[in-house]
Amino acid sequence: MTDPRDARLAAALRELGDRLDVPPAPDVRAAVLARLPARPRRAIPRWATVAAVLLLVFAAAVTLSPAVRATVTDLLRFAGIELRSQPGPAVRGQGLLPGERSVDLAEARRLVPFPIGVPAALGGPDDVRIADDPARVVSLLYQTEPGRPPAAVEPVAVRLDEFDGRLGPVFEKFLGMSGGQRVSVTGAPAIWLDRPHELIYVDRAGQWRTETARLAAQSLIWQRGTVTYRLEGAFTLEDALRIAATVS
Amino acid sequence: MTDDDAVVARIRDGDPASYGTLVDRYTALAHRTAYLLGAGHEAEDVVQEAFVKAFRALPSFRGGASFRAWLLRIVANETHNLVRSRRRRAATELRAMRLELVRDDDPAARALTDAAGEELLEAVRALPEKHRAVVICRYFLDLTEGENAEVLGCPRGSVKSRAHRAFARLRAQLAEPDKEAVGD
Repeated sequence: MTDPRDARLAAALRELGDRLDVPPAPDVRAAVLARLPARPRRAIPRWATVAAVLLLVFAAAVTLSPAVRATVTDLLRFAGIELRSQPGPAVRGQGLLPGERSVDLAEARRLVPFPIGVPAALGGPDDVRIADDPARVVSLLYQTEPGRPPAAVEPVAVRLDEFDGRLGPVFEKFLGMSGGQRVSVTGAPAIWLDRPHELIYVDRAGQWRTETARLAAQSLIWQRGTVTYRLEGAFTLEDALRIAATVS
Repeated sequence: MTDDDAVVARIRDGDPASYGTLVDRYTALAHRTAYLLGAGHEAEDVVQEAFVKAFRALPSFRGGASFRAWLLRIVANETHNLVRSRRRRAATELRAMRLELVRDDDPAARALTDAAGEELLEAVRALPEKHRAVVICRYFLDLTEGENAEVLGCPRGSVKSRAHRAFARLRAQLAEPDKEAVGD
């Protein structure tokens, strides 16, 4: 900033900062200490409040220190989706999956090695996408219309991702302040993430594809047979469960 | 080794109570950060949550890095998540801005400083979120460019270019007589 006008503006902003009305800081020491586990590493991780590693997990798998390795094993894995409580990566692009392309449902069924479920409650999807090559994830997209939740990611109201959950992790989800809850979809264990969170695709080599990072809306994740379903939309748990129950 | 590193080492050696030292040291800054980035009256919850999360994630904290910037990044993320979920739930208040000037009791002093201050503050409020965050971190929280990048989770280059655009927008908004065309 060599421009004198920039210097003036910077000085004015600094001065403004000194005059901002910020309430006095609370004393959180006792409250924080009361909530700490005995050690930074939890012996038995409570799901979704798992201490986790930033950036190092896969990139530096060979040189992990013992402390870091211990936290890696703390990760909770659920049906091909890893949930992390750490801050997520910066969301930059549109969050398309690698090689994401539109196909019709019949074509998608031909391309992926698992049965594709369609939620009867929503009917035929407005768009079908497959991702990666060879195809690994199928996404059914539903646009907004009366009776559907509001658009989570314009113009998509509901997105149902499906993939073979026996494979390694396919998505990383980064949770914010609250976690989620264990629920069940027609008897199958499921996890409900009740707020927007960062989502990132993990490719076959286990690499985090940071360019796929996007902010996902509320999501319900469950597994049936070998297929993992990730139903996303700005809906309530009740609505999500109602839709999920009709996937066949 | 900084003071912070020494404390972190003690915690790793099995003395979690030492964490109180870090909590005391950074509560004020963490609270100011959360408040100004939009947490408002929920800033205390954000700060508490961020400290607990930071503790749990301590094994991933690399010695030699700045604990302060690392913690503030968690605070900024928590705040970001809070603001987003709040925005999504109640579509009413889009800008959860908590930027207000302290009122000076002396009317004369107030008249002199408030008009310009309010105008500039209004311009800052009107910035897009990413640009506003850069201005808040750099000038209201007094973070370095490197810290700013770490806290906002983006490359230094982005911090620079966002700051540059923010300045252009601020100048346009304030309509300085010698302003140049703003190419965005």
